[in-house]
Amino acid sequence: MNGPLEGVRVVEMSMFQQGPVAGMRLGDLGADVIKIETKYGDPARAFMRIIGAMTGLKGRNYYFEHCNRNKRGIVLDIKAERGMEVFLKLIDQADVFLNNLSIDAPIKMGIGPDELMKRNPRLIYAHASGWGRKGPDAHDYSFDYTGIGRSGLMMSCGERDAPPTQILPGIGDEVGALMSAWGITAALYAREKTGRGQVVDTSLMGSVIASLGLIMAAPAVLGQEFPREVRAEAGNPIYNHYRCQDDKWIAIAHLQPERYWPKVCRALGLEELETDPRFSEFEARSAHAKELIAIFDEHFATRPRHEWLSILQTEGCIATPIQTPTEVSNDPQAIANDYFVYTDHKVHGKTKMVGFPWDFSDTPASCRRDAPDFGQHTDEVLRELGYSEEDISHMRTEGVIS
Amino acid sequence: MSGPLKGVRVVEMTMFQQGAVAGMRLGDLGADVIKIETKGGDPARAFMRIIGAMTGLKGRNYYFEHCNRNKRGMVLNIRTDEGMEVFLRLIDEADVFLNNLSIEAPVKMGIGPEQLLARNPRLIYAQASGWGRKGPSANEYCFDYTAIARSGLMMSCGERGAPPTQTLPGVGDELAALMCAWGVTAALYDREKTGLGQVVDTSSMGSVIATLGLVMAAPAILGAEFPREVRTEAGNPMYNHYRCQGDKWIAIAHLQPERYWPKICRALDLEELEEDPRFMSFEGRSANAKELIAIFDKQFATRPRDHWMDVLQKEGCICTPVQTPSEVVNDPQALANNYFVDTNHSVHGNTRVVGFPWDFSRTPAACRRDAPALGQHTHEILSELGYSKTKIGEMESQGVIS
Repeated sequence: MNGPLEGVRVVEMSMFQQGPVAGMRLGDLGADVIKIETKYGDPARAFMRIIGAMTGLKGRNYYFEHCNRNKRGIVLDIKAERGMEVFLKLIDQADVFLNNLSIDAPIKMGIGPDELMKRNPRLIYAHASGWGRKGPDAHDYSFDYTGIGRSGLMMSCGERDAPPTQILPGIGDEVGALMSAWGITAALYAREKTGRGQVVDTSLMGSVIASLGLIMAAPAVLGQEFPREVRAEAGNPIYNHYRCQDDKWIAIAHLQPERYWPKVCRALGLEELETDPRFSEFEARSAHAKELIAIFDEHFATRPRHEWLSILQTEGCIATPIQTPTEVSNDPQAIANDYFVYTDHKVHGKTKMVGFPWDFSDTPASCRRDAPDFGQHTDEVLRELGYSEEDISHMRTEGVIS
Repeated sequence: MSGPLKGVRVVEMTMFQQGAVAGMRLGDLGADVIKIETKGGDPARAFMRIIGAMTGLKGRNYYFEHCNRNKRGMVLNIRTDEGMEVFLRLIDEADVFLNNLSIEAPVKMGIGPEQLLARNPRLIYAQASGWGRKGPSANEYCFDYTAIARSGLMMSCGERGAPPTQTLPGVGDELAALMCAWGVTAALYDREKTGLGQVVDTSSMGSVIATLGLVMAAPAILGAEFPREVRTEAGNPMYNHYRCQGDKWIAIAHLQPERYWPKICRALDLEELEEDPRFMSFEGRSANAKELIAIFDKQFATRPRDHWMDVLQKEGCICTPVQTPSEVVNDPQALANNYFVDTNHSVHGNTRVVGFPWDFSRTPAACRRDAPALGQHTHEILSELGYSKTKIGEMESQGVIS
């Protein structure tokens, strides 16, 4: 059993995260992905040197490993005539060309959409851009940070009137990558019906907006924003989160508050509140929310989280731990569903990686290859294109490949 | 020109957001989506009554409109024999069945994956679940809030040492919907090759984890988390955000700090800092970050954001406004790329709605229909299935449809 995109050939020219993760996800779904690098390599290969030193992260380059699994890697200088020849041979046999260069760059290099689609009308030309192909800022620089800043994510998190929220880096790029890979998947389906490829642009900005979806629908449709909440004053205190004795947080989530109020009181050992006129009804709890939340805060602080989870679950309440990324990566539920998977890395042995959001009954996603070493598959891919050993070594001497 | 999924027929039985948005996005891509409701209707139809009163939001039900555009709606009671017969006739002609019921519910109703795939082996049976089909929590309740809490989003935002971050509701459901619709798209492509449908499960938990991607890759691969940042101590003060006069925020994003330091000093009218030994090298600025950020904070506060955007751009610096959702909705860049589109709503006239993250050159996504009124297309769909006017009238009077 192979992924749903088995047999699809993707050629990617991408760096850092947004483009590479799009290629990685297509690889997860079964596509054969060939990553072309220049002789300097994707700058992400130096990620730990660039950022690891700053943040104190030590060890393997998880950034490159994450963004480039399920790919073969080749090193090719397309500025050389023979390099361009190899590139175009690859394009002739490709289903998808994926890049996250600036919009102008591939055009200047002679590999813009017009040129490549003329050669191969079945090609899906995918551009993972910053701000889209149109509009006043189509050519501006874009990074994860500026993308989420401008597109509303930083102001959709945090409490009312608080400054923009710090967000761990990479979410904007990841979202941009997912939308790109999905757009490509849809274009592949369309090609089955029409026989023709097309250009698919997905930008970081557009992807963040689409992911915020409903949050954006309020100002779009209503002209008003859904108000940000203040935890200590939450309108429904039994739909809120609390800090436990061990400094871990728990969320309780009761959207049918009348049904659950007595259970919550029992679970917390606060039976006396059940009929307290300040709290006995939804409206009253809302009006006295600050008071009630203060009582809950004090109370949750008396026991560690795992005890509260078990007590609340025994009472039939709805509760969940608020987990850090590390906790999530060890959550048995996440592992049971392959949201994290173990791979056998060629150098590092058993390695946990981010898995897959889809559970296909017939065509499962899989992690079949580690991120390629620099130029690891150059010879293999050239041989597949029909180049002789002599050609290959000649090109290597001339610096066209490595 | 119509979307890449033109000709695909989706039958959905969904409520609230996760399943409904998945159907909506398939509709955006050109599919014909039929939403089946019970006579009580999707509870989302009452959203403004449920939540609007609490939050002070007034006006149209933007929630239902957002989640259900590009669909036809019918009311069908599948608990009656005749209703079930109509449902199965729909399934026989469908490419996709989509639901976000609990995992057990459709099985109990006799419309689980085994039954429906036995009838129609080409069917893609898509389940938008909470915690995935496997694992200890597969059958637990799941809401947007509990999903983002447990799956790490709330602890991936906010400053180091801060409590979990408040996040506007709906992001978790939206992400899960996008992954679901993408999984369906991939399964449709696979079916072109194999002729077979399958079960595709995508959960809120799995989707949030996949979206956090790189954030999760660090603890998975390295066993260490990327540290959350504190704004007033950011390691690179030229990659940080600042509050301007008028309380609007600006982000500056310079990853090549040496190149941009003199430009920043000029743009901020702080030329004297350029040669200041505390700040003239990257290491110096990092070591004295708190001091430098305090100076920048003070300076940015003296002029409105428009002024700073203007002078920074003139100096060739990289900056962006940190926008609220309301600002994003009116951003000309977002409008130019159809990330928001203006539609002509059947009742409310000209209406702006969230647009599309993909720009397809040949098969554009489109907003072709408003969200349906309850039962709006029941007759139309039954006529298409070959039911006579008399029969339809009969079923209506028996309460099978409405």
